[in-house]
Formats: sequence, C-alpha cells, structure tokens
Amino acid sequence: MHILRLFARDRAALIGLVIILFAILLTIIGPFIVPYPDDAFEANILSRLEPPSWDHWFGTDDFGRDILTRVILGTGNALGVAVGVAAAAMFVGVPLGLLAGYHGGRFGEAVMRVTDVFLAVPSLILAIALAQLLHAGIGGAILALSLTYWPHFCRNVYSETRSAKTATFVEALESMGAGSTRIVFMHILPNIASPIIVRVTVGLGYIIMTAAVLGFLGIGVPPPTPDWGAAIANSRQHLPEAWWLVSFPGLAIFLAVLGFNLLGDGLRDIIDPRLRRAR
Amino acid sequence: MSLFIVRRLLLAIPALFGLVLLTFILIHAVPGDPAAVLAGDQATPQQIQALREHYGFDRPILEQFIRYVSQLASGSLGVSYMTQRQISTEIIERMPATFELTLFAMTLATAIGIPLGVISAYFHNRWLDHVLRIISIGGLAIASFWLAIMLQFTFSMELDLLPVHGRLSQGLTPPPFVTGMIVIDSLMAGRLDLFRDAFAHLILPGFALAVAPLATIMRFTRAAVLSTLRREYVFYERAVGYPRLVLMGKYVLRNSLVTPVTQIGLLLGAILGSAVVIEAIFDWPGLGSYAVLSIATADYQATLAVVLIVGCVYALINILVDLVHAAVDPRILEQL
Repeated sequence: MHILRLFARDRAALIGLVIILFAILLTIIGPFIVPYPDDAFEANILSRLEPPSWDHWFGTDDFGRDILTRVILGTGNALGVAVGVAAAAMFVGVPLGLLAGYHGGRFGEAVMRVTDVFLAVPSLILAIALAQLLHAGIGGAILALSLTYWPHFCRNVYSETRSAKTATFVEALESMGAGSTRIVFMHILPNIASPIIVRVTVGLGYIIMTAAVLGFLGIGVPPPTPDWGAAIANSRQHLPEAWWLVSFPGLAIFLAVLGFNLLGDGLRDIIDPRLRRAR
Repeated sequence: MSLFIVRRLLLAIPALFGLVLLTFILIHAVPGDPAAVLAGDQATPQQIQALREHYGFDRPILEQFIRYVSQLASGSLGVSYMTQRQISTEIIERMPATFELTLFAMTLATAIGIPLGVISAYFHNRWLDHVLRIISIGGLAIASFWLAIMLQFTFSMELDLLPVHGRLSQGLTPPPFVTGMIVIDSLMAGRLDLFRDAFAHLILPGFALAVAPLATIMRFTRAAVLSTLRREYVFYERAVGYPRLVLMGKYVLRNSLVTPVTQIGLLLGAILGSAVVIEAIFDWPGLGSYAVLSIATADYQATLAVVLIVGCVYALINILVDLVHAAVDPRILEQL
C-alpha cells in the first residue's frame, strides 16, 4: 500500500503509466476501432497525399491510406517487438547474470568477458549489422535487438547478485545446506526483482526507439505492414509538400518512449532510494 | 601513468578480439555459402569466387579463422564489391567527416547541457527548473532521426535558413587537407567564407545528434550539483557569506562534474550510433552514411568493417575518458 501511495504522488510516473495503458488498449482494440481498417494493406490512389481533414484526421499517405489508421495499427507492432525483445533478453541475461554473480570464479569471469564483446560496439550499430546479416524481416530484427540487449540485463543482474550474495539470509541458507540453484532462483532472484523491473521498463522505451531506427533503415517488417519507422522513411520523399506524413508516426514514437521513460523513472525512485532523483 | 595506459589498452584487446570472433561466427552461422553471403545479393559469380579464395572458405574452419584475423591485422578489410575499392581506404576517407560531426555534437551537448543542469539545480523546484526538466525528459524520448527530418523540413525547406544536406555548398572547393575536418581546415587556411559555409552545414545534423546526450548531461549535472549543495562545506561557505554565484561556479560545480564527465564516453558511443542515421538523412559523407549505403546495397563486408572500426574507435574513446578521469581523480590510478 505504501508503494502505491508513493506512486500516486508521482505525477510524472502516473502520466507515463496512462500513456502505456493507452498504448496497450490501442494494441488490443485498435484493429476494431480504426476508421479505415482496410488501409492496413490496401492502396487507395485516388485519395493520395490528402492533408488532415474531418475524414482523415492525420491525412493520407502516398498510397492514399489513412495515416491515423496506420499509426494506431503500428502500436501493436512496436509494443510487440519491444516486449518480445525484452523477454528474450531477460530469458538469457537474467539466469546468466544470476549464476555468474553467485558462482563468480572462472565462469563468472567468462560470462562478463562475453558481455564485454557485445558492449564493445554502440548497440545501435551492432543491431543494424546483425539485423542485416540475419536478414529475415521482423524475426531478424527481433533476434538482432535481443542479441544486443541481453548483456545490459546480464551486467545489471550480475552486480545486483554480487551484492545480494553477501547478505546474511544467503549465508543462513547456505549453512542450512540449501542447494545453489534453490538459493539463486528462489531467494536471490526475488530480492533483486525490483532493479530488474526498472531496467525492463526503461529498456522497453529504448527498444521501441531502436526498433524504429531499424524500421527507418528498412530492416524490419516488410512494406505493407504498418510500422512507425518505415512510415517516416517513406515520408521523406514527399517533403516539404506533405508535413503530415512525417509528423504523426514520429509523435507516436515520442509518446511511447516518453511513457516508458516516465514510468521507469518513477519506479526507480520508489524502489531504489539510493538512486532517487534529487527533487 | 604509462603503466595505466598500457594496462587499459591490454584490457580492450580481449573484447575487440571477441568482436572479430563474433563477426566470423556470424558470417558462418548464416545458412548458405559464406562467400555468397559476404558478397551480397547482387554480386557476380566471379566476385563470389574471388572472395572464396581471398578468405579461403574452402579450407578448414580454424585455418579460415587464422586467415581472417591475419587479414584484419594487416589492415585489410576486404574489397567493396560495389566500388571495387579497398574498404579500409573508403573508411579512412570518410572518418574525418564523422569526427567533425560527432565532436561538434558532443561539444554542443556539453556546452549547453552543463550550464542548463546547473541553472536547473540553482532554481531547484521553481518554475524554471520544472520547464528545464520537462525539456530534458522530452529530449530523451525524441527519436533523433525524426528530429533530424523535422529540423531539415522546418529550417531548410520551409524557412530556407540552413542548407539541406552535405558538408559544403556546391561549387565550393574544400580547403587543403590538414585534419580532414572542413571547419578546422578552412580556419587554418584563413578562408572565413568556407568556414561559415561549412559551419552552417554542421548546425542541423549536429543539433539533431546533440539533443539526447544534452538531455542526459543536463540530468546528471543537475543531480550532481544538487547533491553537492547538500554537503556541509557548502553550508559552511554559505554561512561565511560567499556570494551564491561564486560559490556555485567555483566550489560546487568543480566538485559536481565528475559524474557527467564519466558519462561522456558512453554518450559518444550513443552519438556514434545515431550518427549512422543522421548522416544518411543529411547526406553527410561519413562512416554512418557509408554503413547505410552498405545496407542498401547488401555489401556485408563493408557493414562488418564499419562495426569493427567503430569498435576500435569506441575502445579508444573509453580509454581516453578513463585517462581524463584518472587525471581528475588520482585514486582511480590505484584501482587498476
């Protein structure tokens, strides 16, 4: 209850939560409420490049498709990729970080050296190169993003585990003869869950941003599927005549990333007073 | 100090070697003929055959790896099948443009971010602080490639204030090559007209790149200054009656800058990453637009070369940051 009260007092975090809930809502009911459901795939050349109006709130693109419709349908794609990448990165990074942090020694050292390799290049550049080599559309993009993102998790979990390992309760468990797997997954993991949650929240925003860059470069979902990054790339050839083409998908990315950043900051304040933003 | 540098360099080697191994594994993990994969979708059979012989893809895997490493060690990154030129030459030609842009963006981010962070802390919880914090939170959420296009649209296309793309206006010849950075070379040659033109070309891409690191630096500076302000010596100095500005500029700021400075290495990495797209948008002839070009033409060798080169540059930057850090805080020297 205390946590909820703290959270309710943080206006910025609440705004973030509302944005995210709204995005999730759009993902679920989006396909049913969009004004022109057919515009996901069908071209409509007669109404091409129309400025925003009553019929088309965000205007239409160069295929005459309703931009509002495509921005809404792009939400599910963006969130889906973000959640998929975060889940895959956690699936690899969390157990590895836990085991490396708990056992340490040569194994821990080896795991950390492997993360060094992935962190030796700015993650965006590595993701671009991997996605291109794996060239398998959206699957390749997700795999590339997961491969570049798991070391961040692993490092985080590793250092949290290292400090949790010295706690008295771990010592007590060890002296009672609890197995290491049990200690790591049943006792240490729940104790370091909060920093992981913060990391995921901020990470989701970051992944949405990176996935948009990949989409912008043409690495991601194939063309007719609505995608924010791809829509922005496509809009460039119609500037300066059609400003609405580039504006709305960009605003959608901005809002989604903002939502996760605000919520992440708020959660960090509540969960980890050491890192509390100076207010 | 020199021992510190050597140790730091040695520490970077395993990661870079791992990167080479990773790219090697990737080339082989992709199904199909690695030579065909490397050559790209539009390569001729002759080019594929040449690659196969160059890397010895028909030899045992260990021999291939040794060959790959020794090729790289001798500075050969392969031949681009698009231009038929050595990739290393092309990259060296493009490097100065990227340095110019990223250094400008980093300078901009630091020069604006630190003062804004200090101002934000100085007016803690007053309206100016709130406005600056909203701006910094927003700055972190804006996709830099979108911002770049919007800036290009507004300032170049609609208002016609700044050039749309490139490094110099058409018809101008670049100044004699010294550093390869036109802004600096033109000043050294005493050509103010060239300097003005090159600088105008830098502003939009530089700003688009600078926004996210600017916001980060601002946040770190604000937090650091606020926590320094709570120290007892500040309380004491205030009681003694130092003017607030002197206190702020002379005593608080100097003790707060360590955290923001350590961020610069990480931020430069992020800038190098976003430079890929920004350069493509502004037709900036640097490493980033080279990477995008290599993606568009499926020139995998070139893409991997960019990854390796950026990895090396990134490692060097981090070593430099550690050196600066060690110079500021000698205790770090003892830790390594």
